Amino acid sequence: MKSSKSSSRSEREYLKELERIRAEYRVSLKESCMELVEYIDKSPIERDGVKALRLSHRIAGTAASYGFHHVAKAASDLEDGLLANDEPGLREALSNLRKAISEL
Amino acid sequence: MRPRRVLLVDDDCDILFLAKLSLIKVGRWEVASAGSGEEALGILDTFLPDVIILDVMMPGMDGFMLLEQIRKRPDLAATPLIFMSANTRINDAMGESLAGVAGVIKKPFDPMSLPHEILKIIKPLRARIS
Repeated sequence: MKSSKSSSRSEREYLKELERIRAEYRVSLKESCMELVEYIDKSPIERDGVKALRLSHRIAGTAASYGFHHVAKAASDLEDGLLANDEPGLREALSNLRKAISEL
Repeated sequence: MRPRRVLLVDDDCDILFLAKLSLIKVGRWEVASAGSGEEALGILDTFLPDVIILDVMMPGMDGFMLLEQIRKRPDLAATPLIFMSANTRINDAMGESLAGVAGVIKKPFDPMSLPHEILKIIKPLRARIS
């Protein structure tokens, strides 16, 4: 009984800490997403594809682990669009990312 | 029983932070973390882990290069090594078939079940971790 109580308290503390770091991450995620929009919202010639690819890959891999699934999906679609040179797909994913940023 | 010791390697500090919190608080493991392959090799001089979790895509020394370096060391030759990757092609193609790798954990991961995911991979290996 004692151990169960202690385990439950420990879990509550963990969830509280998780919520705190999630709130901190939300702020930095918003900044990273805006940076990504800046990288991508250019003509294909002016675009720094490597930077955009690196950042979209990072956001896609990290945001969902923190529970920000819409952002992660948009970033993953951007990564796919960059790899496939799919400009219409990129524009659609960019619009989805903007929407996801506004909901953060 | 000595505590389970894990080395986490990822260039993304947000992932490192979340995974570390999960392994310490949920798994109650002793965790060391490194932001690069080079840093990981330095840590391994003084910290002998029971399992190593590493990101595949890292600037400089990537996961494959680090794997090669780790396997050269006799004291780490049998240490279970798990790749962590957001690349679905890596997840689909490699899995257990990649030599020297115990398994792949997909990103995103659920921080509540990460320790369980790790145990699920290494349990059949009869690793030192128990």
